[in-house]
Amino acid sequence: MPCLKCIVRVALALYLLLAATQLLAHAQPEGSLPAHGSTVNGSPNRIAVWFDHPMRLTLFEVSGPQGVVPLNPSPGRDALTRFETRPATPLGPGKYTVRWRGLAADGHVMVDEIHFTVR
Amino acid sequence: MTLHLPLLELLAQTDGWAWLRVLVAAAFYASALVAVGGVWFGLVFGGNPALDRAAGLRTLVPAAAGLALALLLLQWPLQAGFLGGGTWAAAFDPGLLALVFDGAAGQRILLAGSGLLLLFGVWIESDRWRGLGAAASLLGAALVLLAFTQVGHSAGAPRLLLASLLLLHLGAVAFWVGALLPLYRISGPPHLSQPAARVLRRFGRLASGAVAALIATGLWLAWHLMEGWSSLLHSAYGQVLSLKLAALLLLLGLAALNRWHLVPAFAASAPRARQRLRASIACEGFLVALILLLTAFLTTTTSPTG
Repeated sequence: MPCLKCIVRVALALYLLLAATQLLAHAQPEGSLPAHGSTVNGSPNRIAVWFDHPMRLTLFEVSGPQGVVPLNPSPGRDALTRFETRPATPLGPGKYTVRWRGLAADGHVMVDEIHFTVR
Repeated sequence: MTLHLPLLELLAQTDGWAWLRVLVAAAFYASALVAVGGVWFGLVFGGNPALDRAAGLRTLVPAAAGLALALLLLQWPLQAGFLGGGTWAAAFDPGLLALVFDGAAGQRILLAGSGLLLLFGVWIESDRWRGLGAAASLLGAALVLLAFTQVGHSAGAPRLLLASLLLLHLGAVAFWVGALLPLYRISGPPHLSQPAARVLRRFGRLASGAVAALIATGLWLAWHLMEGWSSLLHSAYGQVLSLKLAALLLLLGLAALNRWHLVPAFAASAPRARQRLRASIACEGFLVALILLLTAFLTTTTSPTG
């Protein structure tokens, strides 16, 4: 059986480590452009997503009737609260899906899909 | 009337890569908890050489710590791969690997890795559960538990309260989970029946306190993170948590059966008591595996706020 002193020292070390660790925010998506489930008239100029806390986007992909849509710019993996991009060529009529993945400051991997229709 | 089941929608969206992450996370939880729980078991119930040999902690703790370490390192490229769209090329993309390591997940790898290495080294090397070895074991176990508080919602505010409650919750879980295999083992040899019965009775008394702490902290954390109970049945997170609570209730039923019926029968050498008790402990192990799988699914694929 280890001595009581050892247990107290380990507990104290644990408490100090715990107290020293930083507060990390969880990030949630707050909205998108075009909005999820919306229908837009003609090709949207901007495609955007925004969050309540900084998020490092690692994947941002738009796909539609013609497959994956080239975007300009692509996400740079910096922590940001809003990411905005433009389709390199106008989007034709049809259903589109925005698929993104990212890492929140608290280490949570976030993933979401946004669906919209171009008329 | 339409039944809305967000859990089914979540299951439909969960791809093979996400399932791989869930399985590896569940196996990591199990092996890390067995390693930490083995330390608790040695600390509380160790001292009888014949029982210690039967419990097999000298091989169980380093084996579980080594496996947990390998799974911890495997989670790193799996997370990078998922972030990059679920491909093996993304899993070994230096930029994505650095991104994961740079954040909270890196802190978790460093803390859990140091703790598991310490446990592995001490238990491979030491044959005496006292002095520096014991202190190093406790430190290793504490680091592993602390690592769990580095990632996810417990890293948010109020930081110290959330992390302390999660530590208490995990410490109690480790006490229970880590004791199952040693208890199963020591209840096997007929010549150890009497000392094993003493350990089983003592475990039953101590586990009551651990279970009370586990339930109280678990319920408070769930209530706080979900901001009430309304989403318990209406969100994917709440529905998985409900399944976890149902499995926990079954586990508590088995634990009560053991404490008040099977262990007294075992101590009194009743016919077939040994087989029944060991079968019940094995069922507890199965339920624990199910609960850890649900927990891994909960933490990997969803979040309390949707």
